[in-house]
Amino acid sequence: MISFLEEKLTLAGLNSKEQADFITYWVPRLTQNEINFVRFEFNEECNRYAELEITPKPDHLVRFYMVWSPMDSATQLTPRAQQISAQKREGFTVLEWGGVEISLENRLATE
Amino acid sequence: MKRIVLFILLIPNLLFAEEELKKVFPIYRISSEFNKSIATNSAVYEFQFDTRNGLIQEELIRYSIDGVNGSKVLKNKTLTIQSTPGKHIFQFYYHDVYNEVYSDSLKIEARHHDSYSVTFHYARIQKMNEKPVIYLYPQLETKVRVEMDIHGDDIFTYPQYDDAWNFVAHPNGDLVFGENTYNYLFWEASQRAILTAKQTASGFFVEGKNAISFLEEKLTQAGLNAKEQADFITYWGPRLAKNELNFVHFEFNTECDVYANIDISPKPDNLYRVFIVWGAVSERFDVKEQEIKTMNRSGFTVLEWGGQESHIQQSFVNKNQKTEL
Repeated sequence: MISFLEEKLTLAGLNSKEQADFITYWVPRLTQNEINFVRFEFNEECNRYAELEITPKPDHLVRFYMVWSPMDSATQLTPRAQQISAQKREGFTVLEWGGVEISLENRLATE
Repeated sequence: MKRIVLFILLIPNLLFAEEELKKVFPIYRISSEFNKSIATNSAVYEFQFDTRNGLIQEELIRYSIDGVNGSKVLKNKTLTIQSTPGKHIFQFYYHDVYNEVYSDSLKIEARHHDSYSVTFHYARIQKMNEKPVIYLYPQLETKVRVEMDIHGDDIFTYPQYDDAWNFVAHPNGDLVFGENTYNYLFWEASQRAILTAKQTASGFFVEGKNAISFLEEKLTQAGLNAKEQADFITYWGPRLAKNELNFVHFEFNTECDVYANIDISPKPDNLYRVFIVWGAVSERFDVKEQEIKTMNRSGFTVLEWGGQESHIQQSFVNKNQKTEL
């Protein structure tokens, strides 16, 4: 779990302090489950949780949410691996991270 | 749209020993028998209770059937409920220290007597010591080694901890591990958590809606800076705010040794530890307001904060309070 997140967060461009905040918050919650289904949402995809307005307008606003669902090994699901793209951080950069736990059942019903 | 179908497996006893079954399934059917003495529009559920440690008293058990609450004193560890044929959903609550048991929909035929085994599992007693984080502020850039002796299970640390954390600490609080820089060291573990009489004798009652201002006030008294307070409050604030009323007790310095011992070299000039131990309560009980110790931030200073959400048994608190008087 830790190495998975370190890898993905590094790809997304979070620095080690930001990664530590993210990992220490989420890992203890995710490791309570045998296996989790994890998907990341970026930038405008996160508007559904909250809209964010900043003045002056930052050069880069990076929003990064982890949507995750506990699973057990019996559940069959074959997701496509998600591509994580590096987020630009030059200039006045704002990073927001968050996450949502959602049951797999709810998720499959709504997605 | 995909759908997940969940099967409730009624695995025959042949496959598993009874003890194994109880471990895996909090509730399962033992038998289903036709009984002609039961009326045609009726059916009888029989629940045989057990706990994982076998301690079950002939006590009141609270239950609900299809959302309607009831309670009965157990006879021979058994509860019998007469109902109608069809599907019914049950919940059972035995004692504070055990998880409630929720059934799926249990189908019963007319004129049948179905017996189920219900096993209560300890759960609430095991709580996480959550998010203890350790900040270090040396006066000069210093190579530091931190050794922890964490009392508990399911230990999680970050950054990775092998025999110790070894890093270079900077006066601004940056902790440098090779290429990576962190603000704090993190550990977490689960431990038995029932507040002792000593802990419930002093503290505060905090309404959820006042949780943030309460924490700001107490942490300022303790001497935490704005960043440290923000880390603390963003972690605990939303959790306390969820409850109408909380009981809060702080533990300081050597009192925190019950969670973990900490050994730092070189030895800091000041090590300050503060843990918040708290839980939701339904009403206030007699407590002395607690005095908040203030940290000394001169010299090489180390701060650790953490906490634990505890299950506070009102009856237990009151009983203990009386014996103390």
